[in-house]
Amino acid sequence: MADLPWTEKYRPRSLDEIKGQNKAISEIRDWMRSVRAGKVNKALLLVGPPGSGKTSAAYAIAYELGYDPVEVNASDLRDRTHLKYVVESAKAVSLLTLNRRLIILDEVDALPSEGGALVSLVKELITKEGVPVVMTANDPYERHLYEIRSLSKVVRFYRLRWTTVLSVLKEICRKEGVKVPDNVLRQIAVNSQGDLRAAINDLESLVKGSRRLSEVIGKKFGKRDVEADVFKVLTAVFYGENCYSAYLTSLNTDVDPDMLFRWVEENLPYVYKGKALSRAYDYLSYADMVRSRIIKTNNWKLLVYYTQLMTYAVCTAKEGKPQGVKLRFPEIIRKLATTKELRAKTREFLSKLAKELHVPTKVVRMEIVPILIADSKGDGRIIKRLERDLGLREEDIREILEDLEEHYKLEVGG
Amino acid sequence: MAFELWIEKYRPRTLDDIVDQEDVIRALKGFVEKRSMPHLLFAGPAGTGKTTTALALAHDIYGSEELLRANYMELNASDERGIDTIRTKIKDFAKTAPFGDVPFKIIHLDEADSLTADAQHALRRIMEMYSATTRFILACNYSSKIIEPIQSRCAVFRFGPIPEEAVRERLVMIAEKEGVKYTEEGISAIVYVAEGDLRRAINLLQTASAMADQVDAKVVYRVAGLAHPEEVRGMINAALKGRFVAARDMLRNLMINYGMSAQDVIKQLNREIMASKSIPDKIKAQLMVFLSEVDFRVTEGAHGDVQLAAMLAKLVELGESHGGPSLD
Repeated sequence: MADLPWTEKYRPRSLDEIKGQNKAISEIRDWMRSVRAGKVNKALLLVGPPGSGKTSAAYAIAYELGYDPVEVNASDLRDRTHLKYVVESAKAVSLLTLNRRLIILDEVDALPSEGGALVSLVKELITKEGVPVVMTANDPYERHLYEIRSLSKVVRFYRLRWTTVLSVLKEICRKEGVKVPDNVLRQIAVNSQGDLRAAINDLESLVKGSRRLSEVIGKKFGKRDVEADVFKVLTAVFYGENCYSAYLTSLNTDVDPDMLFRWVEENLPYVYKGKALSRAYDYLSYADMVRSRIIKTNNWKLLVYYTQLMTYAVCTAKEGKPQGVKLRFPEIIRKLATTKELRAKTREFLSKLAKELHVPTKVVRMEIVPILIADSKGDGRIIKRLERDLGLREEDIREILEDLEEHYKLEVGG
Repeated sequence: MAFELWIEKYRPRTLDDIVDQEDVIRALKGFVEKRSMPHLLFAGPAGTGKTTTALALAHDIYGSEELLRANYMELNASDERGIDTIRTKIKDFAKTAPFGDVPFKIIHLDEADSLTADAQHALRRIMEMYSATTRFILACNYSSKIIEPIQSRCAVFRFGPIPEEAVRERLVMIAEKEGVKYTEEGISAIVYVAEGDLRRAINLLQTASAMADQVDAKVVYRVAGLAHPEEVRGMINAALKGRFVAARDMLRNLMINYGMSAQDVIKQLNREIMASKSIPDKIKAQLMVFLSEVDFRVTEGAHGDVQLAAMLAKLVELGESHGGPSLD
């Protein structure tokens, strides 16, 4: 077992081990009941984002039913004689285990050109032969899946909450006997955006030392060569004697000015201190204002000031020789990217609630959210009500509240 | 009512149910009888019943939930993105005739005083454009912040803070109905903290009762402190002590995770700095100059996080030259 990648080693073996998909699991169990009763009239189509547990569920279904899983892939579908063989063998029990067989078709949305073959295969297996079929897809609304959808019971898997991802990562660390600081695990979990497979891969490569955390976390942003350009400009701005040449350096690169701005801003306080920092930030805030004027008036002639202020002017603000530091990726860009989805959900939640309660959203933030947080720790009665009345999932509401809670520092009880 | 939230559950539904603001209610009942009314302007502090009264008035005029839903629209000026989106929403709502046998539709625009003067002039034109089919109820904290031409087109009603006794009665009534255990001091603490804001009082009661088995003064004061994120104070203190990066992290947390708008942060910064006993007056004055500039630039479309970070850098510099003071 030691050599298996962790995503395989820790793949759930039973449906109960699949985290954070309670609703989906209970729907799957309904379908399994009809299979057990010998009524296979629909295939099962598991849809949802990557790393949410679909493939694991497919294998766990086979295991729990006591069937042998047979995975059919795209190339099988292209080859008609082979396909015939698949169907024939699927009908019979396995000679090895004497078990019946369950067909698994992974990622059917990635097979647009095999749509026709797919439909006839599923039809044949289900309607003629009574062989259970489980399919997975990220996007069930691909056009070629139109017919498949009507042949299937569709079960939706949701993007995992980062707290769920975190608990799995912790469990793996415990089983592996490795110590990873909580804040690092947390970062990996948040960064995974609900993709458990990606999170486990990140954790494994981190623990096994093949990549450093900054690379693991930073991989989704920015390309290497752009970074090299940025470093050149930043070095010239922060450490160069000749500020004009620092400005020229910025002109000779492909870096987007807004991106460069964020790099300068991020690293500034590590390099400059005190009066120099305040002066340089003054220039940056001025540059930012110039930017808003450019956008407002569509006056792109002003762009030159934007760039000059963030390079030349910031360069002049230093006093003496600034200290050398390791340059870091703009935290704010990462933050905005990783929390984008949750922020949108939070906004929607607050404004729906504001509407229902006839109050401004700031009142919801200040006065209602504390009630809901306290409720979520207790019997959760109000939240269940909201799920019905606002048409939002309880899990989502809880995730939003968990995130908001950090800012309220609520202590319940005591 | 569907909600388990008490401000909604115990909201009076009709004008008869409203026990406070008697003068206002008497006048409004006249409109209901005649089934006609001018545009209205409700002025008064938060939590004094402006929204509830508007809803109850509409309820009494329309006579049924169904007609209310079809003919009543609520907008919040500070939640909408500028006068253009408000105009579009009003246009979509007002362009069709009132539904059912009712004289007009009602548009309730809350926090109208958050609109700039220019936007209010635009609003005035919108009000005129649709006056054949709609009536406006504008709500604001200060009528002085509403431009003259709008005020002169509206019947103005003033809502005073709810008297302490009335707040207390209401709280006790709800606590009894909900089976909440409380002490006299607990209720008094809520009345004291809420300062005549009945909505806040009821929300405090519900938060306190959800957090502890008994609502006493200790719980109430703890709960009341929660509403304003401590982090704003923490952020200022970190900056004054020269810990810029920590302060900037807190700022980003407030804005990105907590979702506070730059304007809210600015407002709270201003309040905290003004109220501080330990920051020397001369520094406060300099900070005011800087904060006003930040506020202006953000209004003009600059990035709130950048502008406020520049403000924090200024705090670091001031803190250094004055031996690292803290807020108190």
